[in-house]
Amino acid sequence: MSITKRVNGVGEFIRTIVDPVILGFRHLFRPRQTIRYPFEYYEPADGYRGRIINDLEKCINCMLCARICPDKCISQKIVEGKKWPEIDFGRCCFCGFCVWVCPPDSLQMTKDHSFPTYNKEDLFYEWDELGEYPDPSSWRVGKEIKQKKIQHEMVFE
Amino acid sequence: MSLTVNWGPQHPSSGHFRMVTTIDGDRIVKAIPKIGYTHRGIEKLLENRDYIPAIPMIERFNMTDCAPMNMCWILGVEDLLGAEVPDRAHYLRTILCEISRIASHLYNLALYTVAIGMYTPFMWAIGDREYFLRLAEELTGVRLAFAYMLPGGVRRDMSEDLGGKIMKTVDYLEKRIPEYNRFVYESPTVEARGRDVGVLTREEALEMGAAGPVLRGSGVALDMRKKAPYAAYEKMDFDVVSYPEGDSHARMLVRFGEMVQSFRILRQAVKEIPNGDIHAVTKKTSTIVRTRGVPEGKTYVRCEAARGMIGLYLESHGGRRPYRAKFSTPSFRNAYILPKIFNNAPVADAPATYHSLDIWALEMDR
Ligand code: SF4
Ligand code: SF4
Repeated sequence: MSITKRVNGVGEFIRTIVDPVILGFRHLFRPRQTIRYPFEYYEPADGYRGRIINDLEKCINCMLCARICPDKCISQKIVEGKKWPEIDFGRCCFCGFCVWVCPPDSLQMTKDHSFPTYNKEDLFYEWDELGEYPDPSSWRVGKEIKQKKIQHEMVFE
Repeated sequence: MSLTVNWGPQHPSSGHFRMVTTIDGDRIVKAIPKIGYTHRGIEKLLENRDYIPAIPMIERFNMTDCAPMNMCWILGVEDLLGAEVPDRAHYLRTILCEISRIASHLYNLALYTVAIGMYTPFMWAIGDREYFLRLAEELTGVRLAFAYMLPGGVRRDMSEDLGGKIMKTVDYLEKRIPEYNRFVYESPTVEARGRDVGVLTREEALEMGAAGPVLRGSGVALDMRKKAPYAAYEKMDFDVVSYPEGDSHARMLVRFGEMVQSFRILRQAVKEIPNGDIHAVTKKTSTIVRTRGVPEGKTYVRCEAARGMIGLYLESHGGRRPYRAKFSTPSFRNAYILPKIFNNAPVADAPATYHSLDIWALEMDR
């Protein structure tokens, strides 16, 4: 059905054209909703499911984490008669089940979400590499943007 | 002279989905959906998975709306187990399902408006959806693929200030409703593209087994949240939105109305959420599922996803893996409608009509 049948008279027809322009103008003065990613960052929420670390002192070598992993990306490495988990992050879906099931809470998830590599093998973290806490500067690039600055009316912080 | 054209499977407006269309002039005279381009055999793979590690895979049915997929699976497992779920967990599940529904409807609004050539509401919807994904991130830890519900409860409690944040986000979006109304839902331009396009009458919808907003857009007020309440929906006060017209615009209005109802549900859920455990006995039910599996039995459960009713037939012969898990997903049922509503439709209307059905190809193929 044509648009002329849907508007009542010339006045409304003109409004359908003018209104969006006015709205667009109003939106010019609202804060933007995006961030310029490599130059600014936006801190993930607390409890974010990012890269996994393992507290080697707490780990009791039970391998429950490997059994629950849906992607079978946790393998075991035997060092001095003890089994340690190793994670292939190339396959991990960050479901967090391994962390949830870990009896002494030795596996933890950090806020690290950006650890790109040039080849796939580097995404395989060996048992002792899992013990290192990631450097926060790896995801905190540029300057921090608070939710307040990128959105209008609603205040998150 | 008619011409046979492939629409998809990598067409920008069809998703991963192929339809063989016969075109005469600028009219589609015949359309046959070819289902299965993204078939991953998830139902078969489930037979080889433990109940809990199966959850992330089930969510891959539909990433924009993954909480109800998880919900359905958990309902089935809990039904076989006869597990008790604490009230607080019910409320948290409700909250996550509604956040997921709003995000999914906003995403569909974005796709629909871009299909009719309006880019501004596309940006708005995607931008506003981001706040709901942020809420989901605060609740579960990730923006998508939550894997949040487990047999017997949920995985983590909500933080103290999350309730306030949900209220603020809902307030913010409610303030935006007049803008959406003025420029999308009540705009003569959008209405001209959607009114009397892709009409599906009430009888046809019932006969062809339409689901969700498509069914409600044809005047059948059927919603599993009302009809067979699960989680905390029984205690929630909300209406089932339906419009009698059965055209593309009516389906969009249904989704919009549902979003407004979801705001109501979120408000009530946040206000009334009881204190207490989030797991029946800490981790106990899940531990039973993990170590001993699920007792023998069959069950059929259903819940309401953003795209319609999702049903699960689950059969267990004991042990840690299901014998058979059969999902009935709404997009699959809605795909049957395509030949009907594309019959003699102009080619220019095809993308908008397709998106008004909100078919998610991955959910359809499974
Ligand atoms: S589940 Fe936890 S304690 Fe057990 S092996 Fe894995 S990391 Fe170590
Ligand atoms: S987060 Fe999930 S997929 Fe990744 S290692 Fe843990 S259990 Fe496996």
